[in-house]
Amino acid sequence: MSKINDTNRFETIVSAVLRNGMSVATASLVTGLLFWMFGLFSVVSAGLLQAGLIIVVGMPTLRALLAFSRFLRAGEWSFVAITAGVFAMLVTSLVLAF
Amino acid sequence: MAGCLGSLLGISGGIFLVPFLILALELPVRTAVAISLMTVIATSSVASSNEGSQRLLNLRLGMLLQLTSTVGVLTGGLTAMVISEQTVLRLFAIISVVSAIIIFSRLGRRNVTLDPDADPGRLGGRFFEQESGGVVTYRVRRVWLGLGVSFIAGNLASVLGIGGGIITVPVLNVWCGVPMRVAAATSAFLIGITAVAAIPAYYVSGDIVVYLSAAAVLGVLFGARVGFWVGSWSRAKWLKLLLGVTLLAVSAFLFARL
Repeated sequence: MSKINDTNRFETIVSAVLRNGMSVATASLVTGLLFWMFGLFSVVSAGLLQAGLIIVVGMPTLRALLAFSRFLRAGEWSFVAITAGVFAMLVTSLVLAF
Repeated sequence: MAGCLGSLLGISGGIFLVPFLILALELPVRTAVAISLMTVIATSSVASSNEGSQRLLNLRLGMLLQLTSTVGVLTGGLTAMVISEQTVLRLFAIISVVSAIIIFSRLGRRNVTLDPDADPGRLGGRFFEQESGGVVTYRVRRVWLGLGVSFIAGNLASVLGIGGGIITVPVLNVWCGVPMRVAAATSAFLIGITAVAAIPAYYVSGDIVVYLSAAAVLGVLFGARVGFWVGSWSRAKWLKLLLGVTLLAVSAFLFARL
Protein backbone atom coordinates (compact mmCIF):
# COMPACT_ATOMS: atom_id res chain seq x y z
CA MET A 1 0.00 0.00 0.00
CA SER A 2 2.85 2.38 0.85
CA LYS A 3 4.15 1.95 -2.69
CA ILE A 4 0.82 3.10 -4.09
CA ASN A 5 0.79 6.18 -1.84
CA ASP A 6 4.33 6.95 -2.88
CA THR A 7 3.30 6.72 -6.54
CA ASN A 8 0.43 9.13 -5.98
CA ARG A 9 2.68 11.59 -4.21
CA PHE A 10 5.17 11.49 -7.09
CA GLU A 11 2.40 12.17 -9.58
CA THR A 12 1.13 15.09 -7.49
CA ILE A 13 4.61 16.61 -7.35
CA VAL A 14 5.23 16.20 -11.09
CA SER A 15 1.89 17.70 -12.09
CA ALA A 16 2.34 20.60 -9.65
CA VAL A 17 5.81 21.34 -11.06
CA LEU A 18 4.54 21.21 -14.64
CA ARG A 19 1.45 23.28 -13.91
CA ASN A 20 3.30 26.03 -12.05
CA GLY A 21 6.12 26.06 -14.57
CA MET A 22 3.71 26.46 -17.46
CA SER A 23 1.79 29.21 -15.61
CA VAL A 24 5.00 31.18 -15.13
CA ALA A 25 5.92 30.62 -18.78
CA THR A 26 2.46 31.73 -19.93
CA ALA A 27 2.57 34.91 -17.81
CA SER A 28 6.04 35.72 -19.09
CA LEU A 29 5.07 35.12 -22.74
CA VAL A 30 1.82 37.12 -22.51
CA THR A 31 3.55 40.12 -20.90
CA GLY A 32 6.45 39.90 -23.32
CA LEU A 33 4.13 39.76 -26.35
CA LEU A 34 2.02 42.69 -25.11
CA PHE A 35 5.14 44.82 -24.63
CA TRP A 36 6.36 43.79 -28.08
CA MET A 37 3.01 44.66 -29.73
CA PHE A 38 2.94 48.13 -28.21
CA GLY A 39 6.64 48.68 -28.78
CA LEU A 40 7.34 49.18 -25.09
CA PHE A 41 10.55 48.29 -23.27
CA SER A 42 11.98 46.27 -26.14
CA VAL A 43 14.80 44.87 -24.02
CA VAL A 44 12.43 43.72 -21.27
CA SER A 45 10.02 42.30 -23.82
CA ALA A 46 12.74 40.28 -25.56
CA GLY A 47 13.97 39.05 -22.18
CA LEU A 48 10.50 37.97 -21.08
CA LEU A 49 9.85 36.12 -24.33
CA GLN A 50 13.23 34.37 -24.17
CA ALA A 51 12.67 33.43 -20.52
CA GLY A 52 9.19 32.09 -21.27
CA LEU A 53 10.47 29.91 -24.10
CA ILE A 54 13.40 28.68 -22.03
CA ILE A 55 11.00 27.61 -19.28
CA VAL A 56 8.86 25.81 -21.87
CA VAL A 57 11.90 23.89 -23.12
CA GLY A 58 13.11 23.23 -19.59
CA MET A 59 9.88 21.60 -18.38
CA PRO A 60 10.17 18.20 -20.10
CA THR A 61 13.83 18.05 -19.11
CA LEU A 62 12.95 18.69 -15.47
CA ARG A 63 10.27 16.07 -15.79
CA ALA A 64 12.76 13.47 -17.02
CA LEU A 65 15.02 14.38 -14.07
CA LEU A 66 12.14 13.69 -11.68
CA ALA A 67 11.57 10.34 -13.38
CA PHE A 68 15.27 9.58 -12.99
CA SER A 69 15.13 10.26 -9.25
CA ARG A 70 12.09 8.06 -8.97
CA PHE A 71 13.72 5.09 -10.71
CA LEU A 72 16.80 5.64 -8.56
CA ARG A 73 14.82 5.62 -5.32
CA ALA A 74 12.86 2.55 -6.37
CA GLY A 75 16.16 0.79 -7.20
CA GLU A 76 15.02 0.03 -10.75
CA TRP A 77 18.53 0.01 -12.18
CA SER A 78 17.70 -0.93 -15.74
CA PHE A 79 15.39 2.10 -15.96
CA VAL A 80 17.97 4.32 -14.26
CA ALA A 81 20.34 3.30 -17.07
CA ILE A 82 17.70 3.92 -19.75
CA THR A 83 16.94 7.41 -18.38
CA ALA A 84 20.67 8.18 -18.20
CA GLY A 85 20.87 7.12 -21.85
CA VAL A 86 18.10 9.58 -22.74
CA PHE A 87 20.02 12.38 -21.01
CA ALA A 88 23.16 11.38 -22.87
CA MET A 89 21.20 11.83 -26.11
CA LEU A 90 20.00 15.28 -25.03
CA VAL A 91 23.56 16.35 -24.23
CA THR A 92 24.74 14.92 -27.56
CA SER A 93 22.11 16.97 -29.41
CA LEU A 94 23.43 20.12 -27.68
CA VAL A 95 27.05 19.26 -28.46
CA LEU A 96 26.29 18.47 -32.10
CA ALA A 97 24.41 21.75 -32.52
CA PHE A 98 27.20 24.00 -31.25
CA MET B 1 -7.21 23.59 -32.26
CA ALA B 2 -3.83 21.85 -32.47
CA GLY B 3 -3.44 22.00 -28.71
CA CYS B 4 -6.95 20.67 -28.17
CA LEU B 5 -6.40 17.56 -30.28
CA GLY B 6 -2.94 17.29 -28.79
CA SER B 7 -4.00 16.97 -25.20
CA LEU B 8 -6.91 14.77 -26.18
CA LEU B 9 -5.08 12.26 -28.33
CA GLY B 10 -1.44 12.56 -27.28
CA ILE B 11 -0.45 13.96 -30.64
CA SER B 12 1.13 17.34 -30.96
CA GLY B 13 -0.83 19.03 -33.70
CA GLY B 14 2.37 19.92 -35.55
CA ILE B 15 0.94 18.02 -38.47
CA PHE B 16 -1.60 20.84 -38.95
CA LEU B 17 0.56 23.70 -37.75
CA VAL B 18 3.59 23.20 -40.05
CA PRO B 19 1.62 23.25 -43.34
CA PHE B 20 -0.37 26.24 -42.05
CA LEU B 21 2.74 28.24 -41.21
CA ILE B 22 4.35 27.46 -44.55
CA LEU B 23 1.31 27.88 -46.79
CA ALA B 24 -0.70 30.61 -45.05
CA LEU B 25 2.01 32.68 -43.38
CA GLU B 26 4.66 31.91 -46.03
CA LEU B 27 7.36 31.22 -43.50
CA PRO B 28 10.54 29.36 -44.46
CA VAL B 29 10.31 25.62 -43.77
CA ARG B 30 12.95 25.58 -41.04
CA THR B 31 11.30 28.46 -39.18
CA ALA B 32 7.92 26.72 -39.35
CA VAL B 33 9.47 23.49 -38.08
CA ALA B 34 11.18 25.29 -35.18
CA ILE B 35 7.96 27.05 -34.14
CA SER B 36 6.09 23.78 -34.34
CA LEU B 37 8.69 22.06 -32.14
CA MET B 38 8.18 24.74 -29.48
CA THR B 39 4.43 24.13 -29.50
CA VAL B 40 5.02 20.37 -29.33
CA ILE B 41 6.97 20.88 -26.11
CA ALA B 42 4.28 23.14 -24.66
CA THR B 43 1.51 20.68 -25.56
CA SER B 44 3.46 17.89 -23.94
CA SER B 45 3.88 19.76 -20.65
CA VAL B 46 0.28 20.90 -20.45
CA ALA B 47 -1.12 17.53 -21.44
CA SER B 48 1.02 15.86 -18.76
CA SER B 49 0.35 18.43 -16.07
CA ASN B 50 -2.99 17.12 -14.89
CA GLU B 51 -2.93 14.32 -12.37
CA GLY B 52 -5.32 12.11 -14.26
CA SER B 53 -2.92 11.97 -17.15
CA GLN B 54 -0.02 11.39 -14.74
CA ARG B 55 -1.73 8.27 -13.44
CA LEU B 56 -2.35 6.94 -16.94
CA LEU B 57 1.18 7.58 -18.09
CA ASN B 58 3.34 4.47 -18.33
CA LEU B 59 6.65 6.00 -17.26
CA ARG B 60 8.74 2.85 -17.84
CA LEU B 61 7.43 2.27 -21.32
CA GLY B 62 7.68 6.01 -22.05
CA MET B 63 11.31 6.22 -21.00
CA LEU B 64 12.24 3.10 -22.94
CA LEU B 65 10.64 4.48 -26.12
CA GLN B 66 12.26 7.85 -25.42
CA LEU B 67 15.64 6.25 -25.88
CA THR B 68 15.09 5.25 -29.52
CA SER B 69 13.10 8.41 -30.15
CA THR B 70 16.02 10.68 -29.18
CA VAL B 71 18.37 8.54 -31.28
CA GLY B 72 15.88 9.13 -34.10
CA VAL B 73 16.15 12.88 -33.56
CA LEU B 74 19.94 12.80 -33.70
CA THR B 75 19.91 10.88 -36.96
CA GLY B 76 17.23 13.17 -38.43
CA GLY B 77 19.87 15.22 -40.19
CA LEU B 78 21.04 12.13 -42.04
CA THR B 79 17.50 11.22 -43.05
CA ALA B 80 17.01 14.70 -44.46
CA MET B 81 20.07 14.16 -46.66
CA VAL B 82 19.11 10.71 -47.91
CA ILE B 83 15.45 11.09 -48.79
CA SER B 84 13.48 14.09 -50.00
CA GLU B 85 10.89 15.86 -47.92
CA GLN B 86 8.27 14.84 -50.43
CA THR B 87 9.05 11.15 -49.98
CA VAL B 88 8.73 11.52 -46.22
CA LEU B 89 5.36 13.24 -46.57
CA ARG B 90 4.14 10.58 -48.98
CA LEU B 91 5.15 7.77 -46.61
CA PHE B 92 3.50 9.67 -43.84
CA ALA B 93 0.22 9.96 -45.73
CA ILE B 94 0.23 6.21 -46.37
CA ILE B 95 0.98 5.38 -42.74
CA SER B 96 -1.87 7.64 -41.63
CA VAL B 97 -4.39 5.90 -43.87
CA VAL B 98 -3.30 2.43 -42.76
CA SER B 99 -3.44 3.38 -39.07
CA ALA B 100 -6.88 4.94 -39.50
CA ILE B 101 -8.25 1.81 -41.18
CA ILE B 102 -6.89 -0.42 -38.43
CA ILE B 103 -8.26 1.80 -35.71
CA PHE B 104 -11.71 1.80 -37.32
CA SER B 105 -11.64 -1.99 -37.62
CA ARG B 106 -10.91 -2.36 -33.91
CA LEU B 107 -13.26 0.22 -32.45
CA GLY B 108 -15.08 -2.25 -30.26
CA ARG B 109 -12.03 -4.12 -28.97
CA ARG B 110 -10.33 -3.22 -25.73
CA ASN B 111 -6.77 -3.86 -24.65
CA VAL B 112 -7.62 -4.22 -20.99
CA THR B 113 -8.88 -6.99 -18.76
CA LEU B 114 -11.09 -6.20 -15.80
CA ASP B 115 -9.13 -8.50 -13.49
CA PRO B 116 -7.13 -6.29 -11.09
CA ASP B 117 -4.93 -9.28 -10.13
CA ALA B 118 -3.89 -10.17 -13.67
CA ASP B 119 -0.13 -9.98 -14.17
CA PRO B 120 0.74 -6.83 -16.17
CA GLY B 121 4.32 -7.99 -16.82
CA ARG B 122 7.34 -5.77 -16.54
CA LEU B 123 6.17 -2.96 -18.81
CA GLY B 124 2.40 -3.21 -18.43
CA GLY B 125 0.27 -1.56 -15.83
CA ARG B 126 -3.13 -1.08 -14.30
CA PHE B 127 -5.32 1.92 -13.75
CA PHE B 128 -8.75 2.87 -12.55
CA GLU B 129 -11.15 3.36 -15.40
CA GLN B 130 -14.42 5.19 -14.96
CA GLU B 131 -15.90 3.58 -18.04
CA SER B 132 -15.45 0.02 -16.76
CA GLY B 133 -16.06 1.03 -13.17
CA GLY B 134 -12.95 -0.67 -11.83
CA VAL B 135 -9.23 -1.26 -12.00
CA VAL B 136 -8.19 -2.60 -15.40
CA THR B 137 -4.93 -4.32 -16.35
CA TYR B 138 -3.00 -4.37 -19.60
CA ARG B 139 0.20 -5.98 -20.88
CA VAL B 140 2.60 -4.46 -23.37
CA ARG B 141 3.30 -6.66 -26.38
CA ARG B 142 5.77 -6.30 -29.27
CA VAL B 143 8.02 -3.82 -27.52
CA TRP B 144 10.46 -3.94 -30.48
CA LEU B 145 7.73 -2.52 -32.68
CA GLY B 146 7.15 0.34 -30.26
CA LEU B 147 10.89 1.01 -30.17
CA GLY B 148 11.12 1.05 -33.95
CA VAL B 149 8.15 3.36 -34.31
CA SER B 150 9.42 5.82 -31.74
CA PHE B 151 12.74 5.92 -33.60
CA ILE B 152 10.87 6.87 -36.77
CA ALA B 153 8.75 9.35 -34.81
CA GLY B 154 11.88 11.04 -33.43
CA ASN B 155 13.36 11.14 -36.90
CA LEU B 156 10.25 12.77 -38.34
CA ALA B 157 10.12 15.19 -35.41
CA SER B 158 13.52 16.63 -36.17
CA VAL B 159 12.87 16.92 -39.91
CA LEU B 160 9.19 17.87 -40.06
CA GLY B 161 8.59 19.51 -36.67
CA ILE B 162 5.81 17.15 -35.74
CA GLY B 163 5.78 15.34 -32.41
CA GLY B 164 5.27 11.96 -34.03
CA GLY B 165 2.37 11.05 -31.76
CA ILE B 166 0.19 10.60 -34.79
CA ILE B 167 2.04 7.36 -35.58
CA THR B 168 3.10 6.36 -32.05
CA VAL B 169 -0.40 6.40 -30.55
CA PRO B 170 -2.06 4.16 -33.19
CA VAL B 171 0.85 1.67 -33.15
CA LEU B 172 0.93 1.46 -29.35
CA ASN B 173 -2.82 1.03 -29.24
CA VAL B 174 -3.28 -1.40 -32.11
CA TRP B 175 -0.16 -3.58 -32.05
CA CYS B 176 1.43 -3.16 -28.64
CA GLY B 177 -1.63 -3.75 -26.50
CA VAL B 178 -1.58 -0.34 -24.84
CA PRO B 179 -5.02 1.11 -23.98
CA MET B 180 -5.97 4.30 -25.84
CA ARG B 181 -5.78 6.68 -22.90
CA VAL B 182 -2.48 5.23 -21.68
CA ALA B 183 -1.07 5.46 -25.21
CA ALA B 184 -2.12 9.12 -25.42
CA ALA B 185 -0.66 10.00 -21.99
CA THR B 186 2.59 8.15 -22.71
CA SER B 187 2.90 9.76 -26.13
CA ALA B 188 2.33 13.21 -24.60
CA PHE B 189 5.30 12.52 -22.34
CA LEU B 190 7.41 11.21 -25.23
CA ILE B 191 6.92 14.08 -27.67
CA GLY B 192 8.12 16.71 -25.16
CA ILE B 193 11.63 15.37 -24.68
CA THR B 194 11.83 14.33 -28.34
CA ALA B 195 11.19 17.93 -29.38
CA VAL B 196 13.64 19.24 -26.75
CA ALA B 197 16.33 17.09 -28.36
CA ALA B 198 15.51 18.57 -31.77
CA ILE B 199 15.51 22.23 -30.67
CA PRO B 200 19.28 23.00 -30.26
CA ALA B 201 20.03 22.54 -33.99
CA TYR B 202 17.30 25.05 -34.89
CA TYR B 203 18.31 27.46 -32.14
CA VAL B 204 21.90 27.59 -33.26
CA SER B 205 20.96 28.22 -36.89
CA GLY B 206 18.76 31.12 -35.74
CA ASP B 207 15.49 29.60 -36.95
CA ILE B 208 13.58 30.21 -33.73
CA VAL B 209 11.68 33.48 -34.24
CA VAL B 210 10.96 34.46 -30.67
CA TYR B 211 7.71 36.42 -30.98
CA LEU B 212 6.13 33.99 -33.46
CA SER B 213 7.06 31.02 -31.27
CA ALA B 214 5.62 32.80 -28.22
CA ALA B 215 2.34 33.49 -30.00
CA ALA B 216 2.07 29.90 -31.27
CA VAL B 217 2.87 28.48 -27.84
CA LEU B 218 0.16 30.62 -26.21
CA GLY B 219 -2.39 29.49 -28.82
CA VAL B 220 -1.56 25.87 -28.17
CA LEU B 221 -1.73 26.31 -24.39
CA PHE B 222 -5.24 27.67 -24.70
CA GLY B 223 -6.29 24.84 -27.03
CA ALA B 224 -4.91 22.22 -24.67
CA ARG B 225 -7.22 23.41 -21.87
CA VAL B 226 -10.22 22.84 -24.12
CA GLY B 227 -8.84 19.37 -24.88
CA PHE B 228 -8.87 18.39 -21.21
CA TRP B 229 -12.42 19.44 -20.82
CA VAL B 230 -13.54 17.37 -23.80
CA GLY B 231 -11.37 14.39 -22.81
CA SER B 232 -12.80 14.14 -19.32
CA TRP B 233 -16.26 13.16 -20.57
CA SER B 234 -15.55 11.23 -23.74
CA ARG B 235 -15.40 7.45 -23.99
CA ALA B 236 -12.39 5.49 -25.26
CA LYS B 237 -14.38 4.52 -28.35
CA TRP B 238 -15.01 8.16 -29.26
CA LEU B 239 -11.37 9.03 -28.76
CA LYS B 240 -10.42 6.25 -31.19
CA LEU B 241 -13.00 7.48 -33.66
CA LEU B 242 -11.64 11.00 -33.41
CA LEU B 243 -8.08 9.76 -33.89
CA GLY B 244 -9.15 7.76 -36.93
CA VAL B 245 -10.93 10.73 -38.49
CA THR B 246 -7.95 13.00 -37.74
CA LEU B 247 -5.59 10.54 -39.43
CA LEU B 248 -7.78 10.38 -42.51
CA ALA B 249 -8.08 14.16 -42.68
CA VAL B 250 -4.30 14.54 -42.40
CA SER B 251 -3.59 12.01 -45.13
CA ALA B 252 -6.23 13.54 -47.41
CA PHE B 253 -4.54 16.89 -46.90
CA LEU B 254 -1.08 15.46 -47.61
CA PHE B 255 -2.21 13.63 -50.75
CA ALA B 256 -3.89 16.79 -51.99
CA ARG B 257 -0.60 18.65 -51.68
CA LEU B 258 1.62 16.02 -53.24
